[in-house]
Amino acid sequence: MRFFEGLKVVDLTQVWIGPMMTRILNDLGANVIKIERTDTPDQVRSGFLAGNNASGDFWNNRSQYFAARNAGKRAMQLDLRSEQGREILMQLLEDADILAENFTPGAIRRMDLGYEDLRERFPRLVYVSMSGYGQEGPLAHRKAVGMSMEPSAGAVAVTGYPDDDPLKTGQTWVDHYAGLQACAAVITALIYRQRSGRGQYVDISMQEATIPTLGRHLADYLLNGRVKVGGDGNRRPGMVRGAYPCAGDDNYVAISARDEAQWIALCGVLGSAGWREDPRFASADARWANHDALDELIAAWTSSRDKFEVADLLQAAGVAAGAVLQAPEVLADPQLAARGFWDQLELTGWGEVPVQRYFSPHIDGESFGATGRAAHLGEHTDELLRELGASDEEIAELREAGTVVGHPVALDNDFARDAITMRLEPYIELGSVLRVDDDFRERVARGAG
Amino acid sequence: MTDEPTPGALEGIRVVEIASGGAVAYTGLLLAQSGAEVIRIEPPGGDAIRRAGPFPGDDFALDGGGLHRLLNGGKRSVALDITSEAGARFAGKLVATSQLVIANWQTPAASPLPLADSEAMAELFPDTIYVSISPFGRTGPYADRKADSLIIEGAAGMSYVSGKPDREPMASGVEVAEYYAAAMGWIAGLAALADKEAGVEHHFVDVSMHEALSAADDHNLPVYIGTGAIRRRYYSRVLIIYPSDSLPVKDGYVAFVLAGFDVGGMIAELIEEPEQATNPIVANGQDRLLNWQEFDEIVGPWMKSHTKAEVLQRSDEVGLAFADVATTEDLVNDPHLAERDYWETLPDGGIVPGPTVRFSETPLRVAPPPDLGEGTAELLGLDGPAAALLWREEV
Repeated sequence: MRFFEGLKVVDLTQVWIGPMMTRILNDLGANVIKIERTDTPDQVRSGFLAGNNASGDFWNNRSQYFAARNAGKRAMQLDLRSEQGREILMQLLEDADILAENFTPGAIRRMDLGYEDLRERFPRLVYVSMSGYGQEGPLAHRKAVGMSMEPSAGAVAVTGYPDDDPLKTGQTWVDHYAGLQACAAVITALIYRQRSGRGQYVDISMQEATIPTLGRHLADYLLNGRVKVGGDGNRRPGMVRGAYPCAGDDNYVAISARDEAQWIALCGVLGSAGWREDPRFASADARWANHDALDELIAAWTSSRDKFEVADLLQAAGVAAGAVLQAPEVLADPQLAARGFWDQLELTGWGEVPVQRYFSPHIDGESFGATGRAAHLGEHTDELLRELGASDEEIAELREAGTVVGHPVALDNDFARDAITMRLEPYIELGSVLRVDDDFRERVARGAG
Repeated sequence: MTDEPTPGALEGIRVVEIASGGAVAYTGLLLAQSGAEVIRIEPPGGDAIRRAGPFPGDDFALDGGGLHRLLNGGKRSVALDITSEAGARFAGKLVATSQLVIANWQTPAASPLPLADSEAMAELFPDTIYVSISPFGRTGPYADRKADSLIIEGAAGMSYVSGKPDREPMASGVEVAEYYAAAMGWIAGLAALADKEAGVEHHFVDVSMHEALSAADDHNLPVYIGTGAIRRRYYSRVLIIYPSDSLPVKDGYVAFVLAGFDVGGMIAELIEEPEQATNPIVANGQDRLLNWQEFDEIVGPWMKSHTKAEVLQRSDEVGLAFADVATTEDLVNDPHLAERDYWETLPDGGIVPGPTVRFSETPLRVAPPPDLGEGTAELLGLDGPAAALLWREEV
């Protein structure tokens, strides 16, 4: 019996940080029960739908975005505000090991389902709360989403092009990062429980989890009082580092020569003999001072060449380099494919699509993928109620009373509306979409097959 | 945190870290904070983290570097040249007594300790789980490629959507791939340990920085898979949401982040112009997005005439998710973090970040980093002169 097999997770989370965390537990063997409220199901069920225009049935596993975060879990709906709904939750918790939630702090306590409400009855329970700013403190109740936590954890202030304003990255990364921290925290608590018999409470603040990533910028303030506002772009002190244009449509290669040996190797591949003799590039300090001039020379060499070929040449010479990939190229990446990174999971009414593995390490050659497609809204409600001992009559009554079934609310926010009826032409005109591939379904199938 | 001794969740677990870069060090730190005994094996001259700046007053200090203080708290340090026979032998003794060994596969190149051979490691150290954290993992065509965060962010599809539309793709200002790999190493090391405590043998955990960050795709893949559209960088914005940018205010920047329903009404309330609630450029998502310069002209004057504090207070009142574009200085002086006792003061008076996650029973413990080689004699069971000899021999 492996550690995670037989573990039961009652999962009240939604959107990203929480579902990502519990999907890892699921893929490692835990039994994860995703509970969605009867009034607002997980909102990202409607995010970026396949086919781009689902006709009403958008709650039922139509989104790769939702599938990635929820693959393999069983799902039920529950009205946690009703007496009966709460009683069902208590029954689920009887033999549960983990309760996970990411409501706005305070919300779950107002439902009398906070850790203090449950700890005596379930002393072995590991209870994890995930939020932007943590459960306590003056900002605990500030609304928080991933996009607000990258700035509030300090990452945006140190990101941006050199000599320009701060600019966030285009991939909201704090949700996922803090969710990984939450997952490790939960496993730590389970190890401790195995030794002590005691459960505990885990409070994840996305802000606190992320601050250590500020690394050298934080150290420089703490040691020397220097405050960084604005980024270094792709550059790093002492290194020759950048993203350089290549042949084709908006193609780039990233190059990172970290020391003298890699600089010499870089010159060997693409420099004229003159580069190493040029006083502007004679030392790391000189190269740093003349990075613009060096970038022009490098770009002049790369711009007519294929980005993959440039990366191959530099890697063969021992220089860190790689193509900057566009989405279909990520799906076609030979390294990810060779390691079995993609699971093919069905989206309802669409077919199989590649879904990334959230627990990617290989352990003794074994890897840990999704255990199944994402569930439809309330797909396992009856099955889970039966496991709790409910009869058909009782299940019918619970359905009648609206305790375990609810209709999706009308999607009234911009995110949901635009995600469902996304017209792509305006984005191409704006410049935020490079192009739309007519043959994308074949490309996806071929690339990540 | 209080001064009362609290149990460490990983008390009794010994971890050997073959010093090799940020990801390995951060994984080790997180385990150390949970009470594991983490021993860094460093070259006699100190590892790269000690040698990386910044330093206090910009004066090089082997034991005083900023990254060393942030990444190595609470660990022990053993100075050994593991590329030498004697060094590798002593390192092997430590590895044999540990439950986990963490290393970046790619360094060091030549050592009698067979770090590049998982099968040999398993044979030599049958009771130790070897966690390798490498750029691309230990299998596949890129297994031996070099990469840092810039290269991985490019490979993961992150750089392509980061930056301005008329400029090159842009990396994050923090080494995001390193930290992702560290977090994944933390999870995987713990999972293997937990399995082992449950009686399942494990020998080799292969963490790929590339996969850890590729998994974190936000909406590049769903958009392509579902529609065939290739998202590209456009001020790093989410494809279908505006704004999420950092906009200038009187005394800095505030991230203008939306939340909830009736966003138009909330924005109009925020800027105290109720008539704007029905202006499509304020109320309608796609109109905001496609006419963002016009939108900025509507909200810009109000933003610029208020301070960060005022703007954030208004956003909290109306229910939006604005956030401070916090500098390091802002964070260290932040009242919210102060109330949560986030920052920790080390015995020498220096400040470091506190626990990244909060446990009610087994709180993470923050401690100072070790001086180079402080544990060499004690942990190898040598008397002082013998350790010094070893040290000299390896230098």
